[in-house]
Amino acid sequence: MRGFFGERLGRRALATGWLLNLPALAVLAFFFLVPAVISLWFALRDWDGITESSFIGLANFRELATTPRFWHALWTNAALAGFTLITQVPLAFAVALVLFKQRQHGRFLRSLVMFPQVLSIGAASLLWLMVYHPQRGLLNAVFSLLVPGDIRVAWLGSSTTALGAVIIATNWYYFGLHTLIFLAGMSGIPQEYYDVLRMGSNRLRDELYHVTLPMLREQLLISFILVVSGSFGHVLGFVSILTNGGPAGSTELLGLYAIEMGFRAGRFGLASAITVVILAVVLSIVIWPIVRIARTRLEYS
Amino acid sequence: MILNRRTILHAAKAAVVIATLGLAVTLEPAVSWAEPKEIVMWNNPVSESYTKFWKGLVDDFNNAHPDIHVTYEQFDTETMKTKVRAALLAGTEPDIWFFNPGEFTTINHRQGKIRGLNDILPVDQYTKEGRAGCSDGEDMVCIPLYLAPSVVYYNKALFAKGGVDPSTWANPDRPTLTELNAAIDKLIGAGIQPFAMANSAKWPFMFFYWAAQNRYGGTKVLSNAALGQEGGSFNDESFVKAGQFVQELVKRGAFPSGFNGTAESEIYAQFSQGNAAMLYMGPWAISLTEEQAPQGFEYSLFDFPSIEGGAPDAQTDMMAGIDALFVSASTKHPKEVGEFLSKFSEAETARRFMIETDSISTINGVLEDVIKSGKANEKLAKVANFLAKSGHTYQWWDWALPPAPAEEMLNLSQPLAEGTVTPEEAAARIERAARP
Repeated sequence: MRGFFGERLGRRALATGWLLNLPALAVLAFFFLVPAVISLWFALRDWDGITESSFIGLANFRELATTPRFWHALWTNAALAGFTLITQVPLAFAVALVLFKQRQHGRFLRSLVMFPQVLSIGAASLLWLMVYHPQRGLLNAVFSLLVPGDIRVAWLGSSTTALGAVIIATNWYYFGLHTLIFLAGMSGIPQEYYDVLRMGSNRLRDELYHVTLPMLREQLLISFILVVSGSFGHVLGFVSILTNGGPAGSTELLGLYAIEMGFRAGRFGLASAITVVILAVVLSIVIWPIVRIARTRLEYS
Repeated sequence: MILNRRTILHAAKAAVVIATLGLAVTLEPAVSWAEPKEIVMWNNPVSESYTKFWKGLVDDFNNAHPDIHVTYEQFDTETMKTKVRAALLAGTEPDIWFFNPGEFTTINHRQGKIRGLNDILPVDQYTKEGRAGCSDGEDMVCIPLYLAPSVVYYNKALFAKGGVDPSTWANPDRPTLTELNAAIDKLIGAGIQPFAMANSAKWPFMFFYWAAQNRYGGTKVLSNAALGQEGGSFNDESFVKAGQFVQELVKRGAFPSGFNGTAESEIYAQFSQGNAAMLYMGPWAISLTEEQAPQGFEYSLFDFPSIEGGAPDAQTDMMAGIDALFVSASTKHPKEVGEFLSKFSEAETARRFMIETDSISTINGVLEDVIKSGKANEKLAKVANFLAKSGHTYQWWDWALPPAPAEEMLNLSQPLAEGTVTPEEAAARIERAARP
């Protein structure tokens, strides 16, 4: 077996490596692998959480495949992740670049960008509930000032607008996190690389293309993983408070669907099948970039 | 680090020591040195007066019983629904919790997760209606906190402004649907929002659906459909007509815009702040209105409208849910739990509960006593009078139905309100969920 730098490893070194990795692997197995296997086990069963479960094979997965509600929830997840990737991440990168260039004078902007992260998800969600309120909300009040008439759009109360409203709120909340990731990455790029580049070119475009972006591959990967996994995971809290998947399922994410199937409708087998699908989807999306970037990790010396 | 026998031995010794310390810290001691017996109670903040009553009861009990300690926690309705289910699944449910009796609790009782109360509580002190709602066969499986019949509360000033006078109705205590629709149109014409509504929790809008189905079909049609007996089905015409009824109300403009996206608490705020003329809700609305409305706010009530051409024997029925307290079958202190909960069924406590929280008591004789003494809220007395004269009562569907059709029915609330599902499709979907 070869080590990280390609050197051959002896048996003792190998054993040491495994032993030292054991605690971390144990934690990973306990909190990730074991629950995943248990989920898969329940996904193959019909269980109401009260009486004995019975084996039904792939029936839950077949049911999901033919349930429009499942596909709609998957689409909602994809829309949330997709929109965030094409807007929030590039914008966060741009803002991080500005903050990096204006290190000396950008404190206020930095605080403004990071402010949402200071709030808990509950507080941020309540804030947006007030912003979006159809009768007393800030957004309708602002629109009423700008256009004639009394604007009373039900941002969260209409299937047409609810998803967009939720995407904007969640993007606002997590924007600072992505900015911080890029800013931290930029701070770690040695200045010499830019100095060498400037010997040949002074253009920002060349800086970005030849130094900044290549050196930020891992940060871009982290952002990508956070957006994809977040749309299936930690965004749930936000959406749960804002709309709870409504109205009429227009903002229902797969996670919320699973929670309802399990803890409200008493169909834990189906709920487990949904979580298995979530795991498969997230892994299939993020595993390839992780492996690719790990293999082509650049070492500058 | 050199990996040899000595280092491995040292590492193993360290691991054993750390593990032992960790176990010692986390495991419960075998002997408890005279600590009070801990009872955990999860309750619902139904209203401020309800919370104040229960916190007071808990404090009084703790002070009088130094050997028992009741820990009181509270969660709103939606959180409680999920929390209790998760806790029962994991076996971490509290000793006592607030929930609604129905199919879910019956199954849990039969599976041995919910305790029968006949041996620890004076069950005979509860009214027939209360015991009926809380029984599984001979076992009483919960304590009925109150009966909660729903009526339409109306703002007298807004009605006057809109030119609506209930005394002109054929029956001032129960308009016909035609009379109610006319009232709605008049209120809209006067720029007044007819009904308060906020439906992010999905059940408030379905109150109208359930009540309409009852008027069109009656309780027998509902129970046959729920139990799948006597050819009963949710495809019955009464369920379709109920869907048409609620969609008509929306088309008529009876509800505020965007109500699918606002929280339940907004309903009471809309009514008590004079932004909506009517509110169809249980008697907790009385407490909440008294707490939130400004001085001089005057309101009264009438029963859900009768529907011309509906089921003849269902026009005086009432939707009357029960909120209850359940006890875990795995509670370590059943006797102490019984001692605590018995306080609630004492006549004096029950009277105080009814007066302070504006709730219809489920203890024998208390409702009549309090009304006769003149200490009952006059609106609550009127609601109790309606209940006494009602033909049949029926529980809230989201608790009475089995979990799968109950959730499907709730999920149809917002699409029905938006008009994105037809009444026929809604009925068919509930039927499919009930009989997969």
